[in-house]
Amino acid sequence: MKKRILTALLLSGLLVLGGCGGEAAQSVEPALTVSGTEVSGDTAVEDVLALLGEDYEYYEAISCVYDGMDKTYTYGECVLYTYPDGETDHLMELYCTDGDVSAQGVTFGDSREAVIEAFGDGYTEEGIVLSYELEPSSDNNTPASLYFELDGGSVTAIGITAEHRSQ
Amino acid sequence: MRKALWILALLVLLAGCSAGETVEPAADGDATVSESPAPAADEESAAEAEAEPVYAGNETGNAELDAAVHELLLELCPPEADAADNLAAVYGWVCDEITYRAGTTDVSGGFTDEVTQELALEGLSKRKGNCDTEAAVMAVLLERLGYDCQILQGQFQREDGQWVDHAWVLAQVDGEALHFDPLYGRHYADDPMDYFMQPDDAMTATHRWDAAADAA
Repeated sequence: MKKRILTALLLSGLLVLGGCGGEAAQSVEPALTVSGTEVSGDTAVEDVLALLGEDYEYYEAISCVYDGMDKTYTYGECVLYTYPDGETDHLMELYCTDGDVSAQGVTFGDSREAVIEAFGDGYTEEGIVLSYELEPSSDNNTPASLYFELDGGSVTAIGITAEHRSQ
Repeated sequence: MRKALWILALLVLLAGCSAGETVEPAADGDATVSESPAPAADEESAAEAEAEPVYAGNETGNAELDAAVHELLLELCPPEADAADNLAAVYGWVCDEITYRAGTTDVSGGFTDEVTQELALEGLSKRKGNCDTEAAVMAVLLERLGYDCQILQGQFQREDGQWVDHAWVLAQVDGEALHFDPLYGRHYADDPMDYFMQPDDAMTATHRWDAAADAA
């Protein structure tokens, strides 16, 4: 009888243990909602341009790092950075400072606390940037991320980076 | 005996469960470049705080930038450290901490004080930029450490033979003009330090620039 009670207690304990210690890190999806449309690192460049419109300043230069041209599309409220991979340009980063832009409801002027409440504690903070990074698929890659620039404790810019080769 | 073993197994499992529950930020998240040193708690600490290092070099005059530079140098370059170690620490920081992103700042008119300060402040605060940004950051850090610098605008040659517009830093170190190119070192060299404190003849295999600029 005592053995059965002890076994039952051990099994109960094991069940409890199985449930704890594995609180998964909050997984953050690097995506922005721009004028009601989601933009992520997988979004094609042409789709982002179609969404943002044609009122941009275009700049290109031979990439210091990639084989091809770095291209930048500067709008009044956002900047789209692309990088070349073969014949295709890919979204490297979308950086926004104004407009109808949010990430899970967090937008410009929201507090640092609101960002953390929405996305959790799994962030890094360097300079004025608070960012949530995903684990890259390769050590040679810059990780995908969702980031917020802060000034005086308030969000002044929101951006995403797509995972891409660092070199 | 069996009872004791089961209890021991349970205790071992409990001990393992309580460790590492929370996801820690990435190691770099421990950097506190943006935080000020904690206030002194007693007289000795107060004295130490008052004796905060003063770096020998020139400030830019841009208060925000100068504060960011000073804060970073406090972290990277203790005054008692060897000068070469401090140079390496600054170079390593630029290599490691600034993620490549295409630039949009017009440098066709050269690296004026205004352009340099704009690029350096952006690089220090946002940790992103291209060669122009890295050169600007490198230059203001080295100037603040007391080294006369200039940002060279030249080109480097890629493996496919194409020449790419580029910027890096030339600094006077112990009477010798030496090159610092963290972006090229990080992305193209087997060892980033191959482009740290290099004389002209170590650079000419991959870089070209207006040699008359060396005279500055």
